[in-house]
Amino acid sequence: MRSGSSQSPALVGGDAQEAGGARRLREQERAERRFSWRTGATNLVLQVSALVVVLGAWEILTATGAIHSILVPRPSQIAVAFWEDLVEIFTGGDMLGHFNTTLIEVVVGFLASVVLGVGIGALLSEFQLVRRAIYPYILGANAVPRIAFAPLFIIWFGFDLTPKIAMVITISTFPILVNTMAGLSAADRDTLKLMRSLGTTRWQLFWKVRMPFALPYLFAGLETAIIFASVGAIVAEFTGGSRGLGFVTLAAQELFRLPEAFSAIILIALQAIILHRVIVVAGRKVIFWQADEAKVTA
Amino acid sequence: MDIEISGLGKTYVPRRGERIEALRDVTASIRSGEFVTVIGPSGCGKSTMLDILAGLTTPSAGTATIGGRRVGDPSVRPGLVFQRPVLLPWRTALDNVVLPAQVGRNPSARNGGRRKVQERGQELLDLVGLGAFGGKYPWELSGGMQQRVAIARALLLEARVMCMDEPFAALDELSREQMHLEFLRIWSSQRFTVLFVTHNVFESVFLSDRVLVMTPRPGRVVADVPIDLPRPRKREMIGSDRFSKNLRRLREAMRAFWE
Repeated sequence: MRSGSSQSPALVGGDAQEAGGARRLREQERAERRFSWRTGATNLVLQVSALVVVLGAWEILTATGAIHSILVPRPSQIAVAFWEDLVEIFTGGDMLGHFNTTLIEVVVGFLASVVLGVGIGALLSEFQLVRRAIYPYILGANAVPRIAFAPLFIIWFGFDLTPKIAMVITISTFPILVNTMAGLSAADRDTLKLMRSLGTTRWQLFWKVRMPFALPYLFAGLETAIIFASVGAIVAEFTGGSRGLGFVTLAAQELFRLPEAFSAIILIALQAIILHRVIVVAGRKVIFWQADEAKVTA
Repeated sequence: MDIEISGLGKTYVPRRGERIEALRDVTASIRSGEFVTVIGPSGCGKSTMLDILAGLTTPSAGTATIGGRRVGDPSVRPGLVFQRPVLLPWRTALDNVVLPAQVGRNPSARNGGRRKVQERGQELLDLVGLGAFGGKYPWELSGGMQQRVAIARALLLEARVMCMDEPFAALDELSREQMHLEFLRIWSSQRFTVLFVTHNVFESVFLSDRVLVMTPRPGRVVADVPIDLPRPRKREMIGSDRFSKNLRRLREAMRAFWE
């Protein structure tokens, strides 16, 4: 401000005005957020009511015998089974082991997918020759129903964690890879022009510009990938082994203990939701500029 | 540093389709410290000319030198300012200003270390009137303020030449007028050479020493109109007889557009 204030006070007033404008904008946003919080509370009430209505109808239909409760368990039976599972989880019973087994498969497989997806995606986007050589195969591989490989993985990797992690990797790498590639070409023309005019090296351009620009895309890919990872782990557990929430579901089904199967499914869903949430929150922290980015280009 | 452009031509030869002659036989000479605007309709090769000066594309014919050296030489790097501020949203204003000193070969050795660069960045933010905003992110600043950060960034590497491609075109009328005065103040205190592309007639009269008029397809300089207004330029000059006379002369030179 020094030189501004000495030479042209009118312009400094302009600064203050502009800054005031930005501040007003933020205040308005805050007001909107308050408003949306209220909408959120209303939504919650509506959503809980909808759930209660559906579960109530389900309970009545099964309790009166309109639907046989051997085939479709009553919500109250599921609730009891779920409660028992929760107690086991929090007291260190068998169910905790199953929960953790699936969690480890999903998380380890997912992390390996991140390394592979980002690594291969970066190679493909950085080296045209590599892209031309192998990208068609990658697209082709994605069209293969990889779930069908689950029985083969049993032969190759046994009944332990390995075949499950392998399955997770085969299906959750792809969304990460594709999004990494899309993101790495997301930097706009003017930015690239500017960087080139400054003599930016390829390495600097990658780390200082293209990678940060790719992060929003990458995180979108991670959100898809974590859900895929959960599906992959469960399917792999169906085909062999004696641990994990997928195995619990299958075992309960074979014994016709449907409330227990439903309870395991709820646990699987909860696990996936929590993991997905972690990614979303981490994404917001890492890409702190994203929500407001529109303003930069304004 | 002066800019010498001589017989400059650029033809794009696409793999398919017709070749496009963007520039033909452009010759211009811009003295050190001069403020020259280039005016012309879209597609007249103005941006191609700036790209050549910035070393981003090579001419098909002719030469361009800055301070006696061929453009494209790493020692000749004009500061670039675009229509959009082109700031990196994950960097604060100050970090955006010092970006040019963090890239290229051996950036820290070349620019005298981090602390020196930061100090220089802060000086430039002071110069453009944003001394107190160094820690703000681009999205916390108004459009005019963002563009000022871009100007500070262009000045970081002691650029003696500024190439500006419609830098104020995206601003609203009032901010633009303010930026004109602000930028003239910065220019008069630093006295770098400016090549300023615009399609705004008033802007070119108000800012420059000289206006080059270009016509499209192929881009050629058809007129070189000196602006006869005293410096420093003041807001009150707009609408004065002398201003109107210059404006009329420029519009006369631009006749070709409407015919």
